[in-house]
Amino acid sequence: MRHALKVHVALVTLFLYAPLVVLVVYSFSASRFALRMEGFTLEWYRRALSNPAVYKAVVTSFSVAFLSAALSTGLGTALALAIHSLRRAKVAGKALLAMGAFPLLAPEIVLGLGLLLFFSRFLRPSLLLWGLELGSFPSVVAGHVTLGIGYVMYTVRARLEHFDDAQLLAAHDLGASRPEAFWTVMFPQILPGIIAGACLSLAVSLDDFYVSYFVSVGGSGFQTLPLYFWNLQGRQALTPEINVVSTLLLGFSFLFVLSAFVLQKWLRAPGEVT
Amino acid sequence: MSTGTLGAPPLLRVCGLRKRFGAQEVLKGVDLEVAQGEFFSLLGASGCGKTTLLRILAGFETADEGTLEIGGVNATHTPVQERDLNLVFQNYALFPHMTVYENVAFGLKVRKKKSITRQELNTRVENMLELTRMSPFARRYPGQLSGGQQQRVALARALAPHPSLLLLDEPMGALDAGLRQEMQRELRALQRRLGLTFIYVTHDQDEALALSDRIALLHEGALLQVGTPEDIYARPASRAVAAFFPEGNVLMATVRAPVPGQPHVVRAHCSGLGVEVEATVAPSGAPNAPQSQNTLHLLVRPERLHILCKEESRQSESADARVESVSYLGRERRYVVRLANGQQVVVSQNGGAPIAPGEAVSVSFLDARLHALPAGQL
Amino acid sequence: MKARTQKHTAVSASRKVSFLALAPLAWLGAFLVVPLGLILITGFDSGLHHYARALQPPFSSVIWSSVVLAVASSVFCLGVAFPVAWFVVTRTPRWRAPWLAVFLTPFLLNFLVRIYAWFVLLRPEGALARGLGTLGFQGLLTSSQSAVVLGLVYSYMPFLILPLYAVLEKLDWRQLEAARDLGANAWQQAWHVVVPHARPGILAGLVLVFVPMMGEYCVPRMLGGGMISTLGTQIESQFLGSVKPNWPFGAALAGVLMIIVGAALTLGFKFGKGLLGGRDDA
Repeated sequence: MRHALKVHVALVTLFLYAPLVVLVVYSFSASRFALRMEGFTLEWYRRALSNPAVYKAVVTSFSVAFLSAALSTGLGTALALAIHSLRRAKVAGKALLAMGAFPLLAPEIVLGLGLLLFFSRFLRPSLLLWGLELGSFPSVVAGHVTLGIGYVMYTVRARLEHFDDAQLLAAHDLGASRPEAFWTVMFPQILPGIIAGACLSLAVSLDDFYVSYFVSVGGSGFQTLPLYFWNLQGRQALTPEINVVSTLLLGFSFLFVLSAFVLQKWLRAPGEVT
Repeated sequence: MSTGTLGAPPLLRVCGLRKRFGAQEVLKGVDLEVAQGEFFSLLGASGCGKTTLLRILAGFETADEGTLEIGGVNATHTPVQERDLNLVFQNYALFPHMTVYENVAFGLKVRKKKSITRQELNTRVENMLELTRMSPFARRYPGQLSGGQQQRVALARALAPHPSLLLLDEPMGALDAGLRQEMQRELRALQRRLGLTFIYVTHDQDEALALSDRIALLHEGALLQVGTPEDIYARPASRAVAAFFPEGNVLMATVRAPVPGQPHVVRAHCSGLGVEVEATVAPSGAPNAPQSQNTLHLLVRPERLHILCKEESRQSESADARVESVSYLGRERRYVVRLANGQQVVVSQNGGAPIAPGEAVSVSFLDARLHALPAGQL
Repeated sequence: MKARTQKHTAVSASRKVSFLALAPLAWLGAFLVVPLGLILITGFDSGLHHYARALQPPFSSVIWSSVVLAVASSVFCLGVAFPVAWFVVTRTPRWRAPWLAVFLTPFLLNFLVRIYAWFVLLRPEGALARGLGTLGFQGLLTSSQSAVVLGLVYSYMPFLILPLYAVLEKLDWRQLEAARDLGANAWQQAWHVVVPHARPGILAGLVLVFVPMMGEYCVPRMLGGGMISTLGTQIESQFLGSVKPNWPFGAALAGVLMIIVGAALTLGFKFGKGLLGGRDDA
């Protein structure tokens, strides 16, 4: 049984990594076709990186990601704190929790579709004022924030579960005002959760396809990197540029989750009981 | 030792405090006075309202009715952070993200109006750490400390702002028995040295007896008795107080005659032991002494009874009995003894040769005068 | 005076924090609740007509085959993930996190890229297909059905590994020792001790992979070679297809999807306690 387990683990590891290795290898292929491996060249990297469309998509993706991460971090933290303070009012707390968790649990296609309907039909005339139309920057950000709120809510709640509210009373007792108690006692302790949530929502935004896809239907060439990628692979003739873009995308997500992990370790007080 | 009501005005005065949570009345009109420098315990089982009372004192709750004076000033509506008292929390509520030093300094840093210089602050914190023997651990985080050390930090943190009153909410609850005794000694010594007023909430009767100058026994939101540990233990004002310390023997007696010149003392005949004793009645100072032939309930603690093997007994003032069971508790032996009239009593005895179950013994009182529980109460 | 002082007591303070809920509440109301409501309204725009159509052939069979596909992929995923979670849990504590990282790292990568990578590997003229072909497994992985299952498993495995790991980590090893002491063999130990203990994690994990698989559109589109029609691809083409889009009907299909997903989540919440919604506050 023990050997069977090891063989299984080895096969799963192969299953997980083989496609990625192939992809990276192909990105250096000298062939003119994406699905053929011949020789070695950095030519496709040079071309992809000097392609203004790629450049534009990268900038768009990061702008959307940073803005929506900032918003969802604020909103998600507020939501987590509100749920925490509503622990006694179970129904209200649960309703908020369910709302925050919904975009995480439900298929993304549902949220994407809902937003498509929302932006295209529902409040169109009035929302146009704020640029909330299909295929616009604010609309995609709105969708990504809705996704991100849930992640931030989870990471902050995870910290709040270990937070003893008596500490706030202790701070008051020692003379701290309410804002002082919050900023000196509670905030530093939930900060790692807030930062982890920020990184996660950043990664979620960078990774998102469905919401961006539905929301930018019929838009004026608004493209995040995953959308750009989708359009590339939808073409008849695939050039190795797509392999390069994949490898780049691969790097981005990796970077952010890694930094989330590192930050959370770094921010943890040395004596903290975890 | 102050009794709190004489001399200088009390440091803390609580009048007619009432608190209700929904349909439940948690405090039913509590009156208390605590003197400067007193170690005062609020003793009661869980749910008796002692924690609510403490939270009202600290300012975390507001009372529905009643007033609160600290140092002669009405503090009923003083906000938490402006009250001249600090609280040691039940589970310490230390700030896990701050070092021991920062925890202790917290109360000094946030009180901006009592602005003190950086140097004063350092000295104060260092003094507090010294006082609680925590100086070597100043740079540690609470998570790296043992339970006893955490308790010391909580104490130092609460003492650092120099409050005139320190509230302690079951601070020994999380400690194991051995450590608890050590910490009790330390706490008492510290309180004496600083001359501070402590209000100590506990459900542990032994702890309250060992530490306190005075104890207030709280039961279902009302004070049953306030008095010295001896008052509470040996001269309880009611059955309920007596029952708070387990294994009190209650023996029936019949009043024979008053003792001349002593209004609250009577001679009575204890039927269980078949002896005549003196008993104090109406300890609360009620003027009328019980009449002849009235029944008294005499409270006798196990250690105030004495047993001897039948052969050795020469005493006249003793009763025949039979040992039913013995348990050896190290410091003492505890006997369950059946008296001639069929009543069971518990006797605890340290020293002396062990007596086996089934042996005939004679039982006698160690005290010349016994405490009678007020009649009519159960 | 009284109002001012009450503001300072901690109890009323915690009550006041609930105003914090207003901003996220407004946001989620506008960008989550209203859009979801719009899906329902749009689907019912001519009574039950669109729903009735969705539940009749040929769409009923699409729904059915989507459910079958998602269930099959979830179960297959469990078969792959359970031994992996078990392997990680049986490492010494300091090696658990690194091993977990080994199995989760690929999922940090953009999921389109992950699917594309399989597309590269699985195309009929690719090395993998040729290799399998010479071994006599012609078309084993490259058939559209199996390629989609493979892509789904590959995409959603971490959602199963994590809850499984979470429950298995809490297994009391003395239970296994007790079982061994009483004479149970390895399989009996697994069946009578490990599986019952892990049941909430298994159920929660199955729901967590089943739900997104149900709504998946990219995997069948990229790996199905145009042969696989699922609820996800149907919805997408009703909305964004180039041929005769029909939004109300698409919304009705999305309504069906939400009902299936809602049922799965309800089951998951009921039997996989504490693993879907974080820890329930007591």
